[in-house]
Amino acid sequence: MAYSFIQIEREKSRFIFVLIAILIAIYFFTSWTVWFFVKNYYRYRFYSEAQTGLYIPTLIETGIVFLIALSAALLHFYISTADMLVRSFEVLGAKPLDLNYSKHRMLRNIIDEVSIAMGGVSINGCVVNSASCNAFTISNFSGFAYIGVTEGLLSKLNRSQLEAVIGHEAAHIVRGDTQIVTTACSVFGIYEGLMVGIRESVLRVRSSAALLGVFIYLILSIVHILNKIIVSSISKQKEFRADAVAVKLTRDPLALAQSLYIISKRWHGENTKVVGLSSLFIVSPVGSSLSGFSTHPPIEERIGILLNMAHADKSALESMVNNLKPEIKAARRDFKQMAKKSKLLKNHESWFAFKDQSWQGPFLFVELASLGWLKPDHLIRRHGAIQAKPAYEDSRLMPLFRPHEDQLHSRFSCPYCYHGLDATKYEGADVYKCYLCKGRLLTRDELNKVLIREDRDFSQDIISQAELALAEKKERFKRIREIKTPLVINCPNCFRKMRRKLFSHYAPVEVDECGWCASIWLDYDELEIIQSIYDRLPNKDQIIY
Amino acid sequence: MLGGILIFLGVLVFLVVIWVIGSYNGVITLRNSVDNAWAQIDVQLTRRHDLIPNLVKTAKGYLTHEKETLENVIKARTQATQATAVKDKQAAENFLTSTLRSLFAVVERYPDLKANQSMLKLHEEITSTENRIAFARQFYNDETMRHNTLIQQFPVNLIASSFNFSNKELFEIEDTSHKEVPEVNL
Repeated sequence: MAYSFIQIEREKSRFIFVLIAILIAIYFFTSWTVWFFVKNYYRYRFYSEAQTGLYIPTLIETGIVFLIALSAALLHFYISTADMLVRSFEVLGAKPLDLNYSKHRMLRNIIDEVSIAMGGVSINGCVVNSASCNAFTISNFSGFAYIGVTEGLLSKLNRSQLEAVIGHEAAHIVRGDTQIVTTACSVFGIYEGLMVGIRESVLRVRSSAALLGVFIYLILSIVHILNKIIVSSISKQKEFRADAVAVKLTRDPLALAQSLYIISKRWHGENTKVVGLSSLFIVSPVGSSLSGFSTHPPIEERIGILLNMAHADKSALESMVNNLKPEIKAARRDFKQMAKKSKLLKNHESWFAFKDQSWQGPFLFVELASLGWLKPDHLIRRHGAIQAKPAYEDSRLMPLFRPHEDQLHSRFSCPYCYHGLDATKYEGADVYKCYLCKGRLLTRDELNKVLIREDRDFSQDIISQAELALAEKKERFKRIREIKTPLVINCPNCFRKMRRKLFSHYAPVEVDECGWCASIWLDYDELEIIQSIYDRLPNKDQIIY
Repeated sequence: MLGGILIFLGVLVFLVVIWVIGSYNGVITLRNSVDNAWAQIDVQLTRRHDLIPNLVKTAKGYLTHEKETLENVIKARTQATQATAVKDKQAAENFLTSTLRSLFAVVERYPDLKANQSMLKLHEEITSTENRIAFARQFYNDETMRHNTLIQQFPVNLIASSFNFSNKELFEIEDTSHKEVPEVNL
């Protein structure tokens, strides 16, 4: 590499010097101006007859102000960079990789591969549970570096495309860009938050105090613009260079062009709370209002350069990317055709049970499980069947009578059957499942993971149920509003009553949600139905956060 | 006058000594970097050797009619683990790569095996290991090329020859899929 490590180190320390100098300048200018106004205000107020004219602070006063500004700036720098990794993680909502999930394992492997190609740099991986398509890097002074990828991007890219993206990010880490940008972002990130807060409070408070607010806001705006200029000046060229390094590593410019193209066509996470950290990302998550101040070069330009390297043109790229997942496309096409055909759905299975000299029922499976008095030698009859038989002969009912091993060790119990829930994995997400009624308990966070990932196909039954739900949308909303007792079952996690509601405007499926701990109880098949509805939404990534 | 010449010569000798030390250290740094890169390749090759018994065990139950492919893989692995010289190693590893490739081609024909969870895991691990080997080799070759260029260039080659620094071997790959000349029937 033409760029030596000494050069990188020198550039880095020079940049940090500049950063501290800017901080000192900001603090000095602000505190001097404040002192100037306060002093003149008091003179005007209390000595108005005696003296007129503006008072300029003396050299000693200026010196004291400078010392205060210096210590404030150094303190600011120290505090904002002390735990910048942890705070960036919090703001971005990054989580460690779950190596039980295949896609996360693949990401871990790819990061290892790229770090070998870089000559053995140590890089860690993390994911953000968001449906947006983006990737970022963060690192601190001691050299701990992380590459983060959103779940949305992970589900959209194939192996070679992901490798190109990771190569790009690793180039940032090796060249030291990440450290510089993370420092700049954590030093100036405070201001961005302050600006939003002050703007809101100025709009609310209409008194003389608002004047001070406006003044501080003006200074912060200058800081903001300064920050933008610094960050854009350092990151624009570096994006091109990082692209070049990624191509040098993976020898596959087309894969990087494809992934940039996919990312550009998708949602990058606008309106999420990463404003101060936008320049850490591969594609800016903040909409570019002014091209001069945007932290990233236009994506078309980058794609153009990469396509030039690959000797390909854009039309080839578009068709290639659009043809990438034919199986999903086909599944969506079948969905529509089948939905037209199948209007009728089979009813839920139900049973009659013979007790106290009469047939009781019909009971759904869930209800049978919670009856308590049903024994294997009870006579039962399936709904619609004429013949009765003992319960132990019905294979579907067998689990009811089998003792369950995990029952005693389980954290939660089923709200219907009162049996212990098994901790299972569904598309890599933690799901607690009742082995009797097949109901599932998950948190909102885990449910979002499942909805973002597109790892499975659905049976015809699921698809037609989903179509039915969409067709009945209006009636379902009307019906749910008319329910008199929406609180039926207890939350297995916190034992408060769960509210019966429709899952969302897009997926009108009845679910039970706990208002306290955000756990969701889904009956048999409901998760798959919701998932299949979400998978065919055109703007899925913007709906799930 | 004489004193001036002596001082001049002294300075000259001093500069030459400084230069010799600097160049010597530069070459040593690069040589160690090359050795380290080679060790990296070795780590990844061992990783691949460790994965193969599991792969064979998983595939054996399904591929009852493809005994030959499996035996080839085992044979290639044994050869690769026994090879010590760089040249032998290269040949053995290239043979192993080709046998693995043909094994995965066979696996494609068995949907049950392809969908097997542990097979999927192993496939991902082996794909990753192949990539790691490729990247480690790429890095090794880059470093070797820098090393060789440095010790061949004038005037460093004078130092290199006096300290017996020799060229390092590149890790070359015989990718038969690229080198085969297609048969043309007219």
